[in-house]
Amino acid sequence: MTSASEPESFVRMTLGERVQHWVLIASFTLLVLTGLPLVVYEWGPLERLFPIGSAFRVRGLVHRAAAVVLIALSAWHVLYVLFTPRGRETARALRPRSKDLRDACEILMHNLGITAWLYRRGVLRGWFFRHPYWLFAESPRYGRYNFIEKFEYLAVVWGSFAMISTGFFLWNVELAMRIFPRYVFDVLATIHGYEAILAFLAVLVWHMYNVHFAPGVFPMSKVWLTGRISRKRLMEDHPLEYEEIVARGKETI
Amino acid sequence: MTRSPRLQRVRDLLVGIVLALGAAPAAWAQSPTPTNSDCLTCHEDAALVSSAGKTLRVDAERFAGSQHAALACVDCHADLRQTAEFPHREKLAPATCSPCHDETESRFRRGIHSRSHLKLGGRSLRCADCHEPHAVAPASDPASATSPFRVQELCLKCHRTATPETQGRGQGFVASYEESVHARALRKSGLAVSATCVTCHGSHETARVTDPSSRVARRNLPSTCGSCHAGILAAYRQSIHGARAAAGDDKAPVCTDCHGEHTVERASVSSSKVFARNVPETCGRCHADSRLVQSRNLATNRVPSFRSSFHGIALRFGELKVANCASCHGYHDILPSSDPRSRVHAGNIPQTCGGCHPNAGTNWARGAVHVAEPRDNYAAHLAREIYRIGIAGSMGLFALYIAADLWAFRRRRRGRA
Repeated sequence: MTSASEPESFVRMTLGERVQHWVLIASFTLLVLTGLPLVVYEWGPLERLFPIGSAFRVRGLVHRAAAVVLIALSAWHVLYVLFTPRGRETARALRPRSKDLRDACEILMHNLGITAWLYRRGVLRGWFFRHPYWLFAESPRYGRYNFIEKFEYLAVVWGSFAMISTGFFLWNVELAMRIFPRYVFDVLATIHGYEAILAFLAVLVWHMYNVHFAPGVFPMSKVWLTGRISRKRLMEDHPLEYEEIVARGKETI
Repeated sequence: MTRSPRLQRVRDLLVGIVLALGAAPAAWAQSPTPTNSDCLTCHEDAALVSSAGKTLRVDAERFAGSQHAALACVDCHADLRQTAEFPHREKLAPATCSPCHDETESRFRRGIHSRSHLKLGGRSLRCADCHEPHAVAPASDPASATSPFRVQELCLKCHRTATPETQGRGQGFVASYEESVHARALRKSGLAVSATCVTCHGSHETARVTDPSSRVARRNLPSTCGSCHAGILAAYRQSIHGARAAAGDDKAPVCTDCHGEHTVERASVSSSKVFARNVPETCGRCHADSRLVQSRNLATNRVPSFRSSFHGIALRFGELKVANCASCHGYHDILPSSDPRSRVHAGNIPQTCGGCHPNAGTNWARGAVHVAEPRDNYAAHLAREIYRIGIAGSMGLFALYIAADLWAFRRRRRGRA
């Protein structure tokens, strides 16, 4: 197959998947904004945002409304993964494998370049000559989803489960306390708070770096808007997928 | 120069006897004592002034309507009783009230106002400073200067600016009474039973707060406030605060520690010390004072653990319906959790929480309410520690990856250049 007959870009996110992501962005942002005051309550200027009256109650209402959206989105996603061919295929492609752990170590060692530096300085030259793998001269080759993307997806799945299951009981205090004692309730509240911090920081640091600030990506990867990835980027970032597409002669997996 | 009251009284008595003995024969020989109309002949004239320019007029009509209407001028201005020559000399002995008001006089002698004061040019307060001498009326008369509606003007004439011992309080501390619920009750609602200066401080016997006999001394405060708020006093006496205060613990709170003094306000007013949002700070003045808490063997971390709870955060952000200290512990009838009558005794927790959370059961009592230390809730502590390590670890890995990625990018670019 010649490159002339290949399209210049490939579908990476269908419209349905993009809508899911947009809804997730909206609900996540609202949840963080309305939940954060409970975490950083000691920050002085916040008090001015909540004058005496119903401001705090409105915050709670918005938080729970956004939570309902997240719950509905999660249900939609579960149905999508279970009952659509593309959903099933995507979920399979997102399953973590031992290669992902290896990839993570290899890219880190490749980027740090410690062994290559040692080799250049003549340390263990003979050993490295016999075992060139340990020089990490090449960066690992990724499939449709690299270890970063798989980790982020699983983090969202785990995070949503943790936040929804604990948040449900925080929402329904009286129901929760009929089922378990007060100290368990406090554990749920603790988990809800710290999981929120973890999720917020992970998105802020890890996801924002990988889809916005990373060299070659900056200012932004447009996949979440257009759903398409260019051939050049697909060949660079997901070579195994590209090869598979070429072999199968299809536009998408 | 100050003389002891007793010496002064002995002197007065001696002078009286000498005067009486000396003057008596002369009096018999002279004309009868001047009547009120004799006096008014001159003193009704508004133009009559002293050498200092002060009016010497007596309003005959007001005098006739006063409590003293039945008295003769010379009953009080005793040294004019024997005067035959008019106009009499300008300098007279001060009018004396003690012959009739001796009991009041002796109470006054005990009080702080019988001593000399800078504001009064070094003299002590005189009866006439507060009681209009020629129009004296009972305090129950709303027109009287000493009626509940007007008495604060009288006190504030001196105390608006000058507080003898401010005890670290700024000027205006006394005048802040005018903004209080007590003053408003008088001014707006016309409640004559509301507290004025003299209700709490006493009138003639007014004494410093440091004087153990004072009505506003710590030991006496509950009964002073309780003279009106009797039902609350009864509840307070049953409480741990009331019991400790009665046992002589000077750090045990009395009414003013939670409600303030002159600024006392309803709990619904946002400036009140007992306004829902201000309650943690008010209780915290003692319960967050580590030395006091330790010396009294009280539970530590009560205030910070409340502030970090959902109730505490919601209260901070203006949600007033949420529980504050008093919602669970009560206020006037507050008791330690070890007391079975306490609202926060384990057996009463479901009922106490049930005040807001319908159908609260025994599960509500299983676990600490104030969680501050690991032992308060080991499971929550464990979850917190796991997350702290997890968050620090994952952020560390992210940072390592990002740093390596950026570094490699820089190397590649340099290699190409």
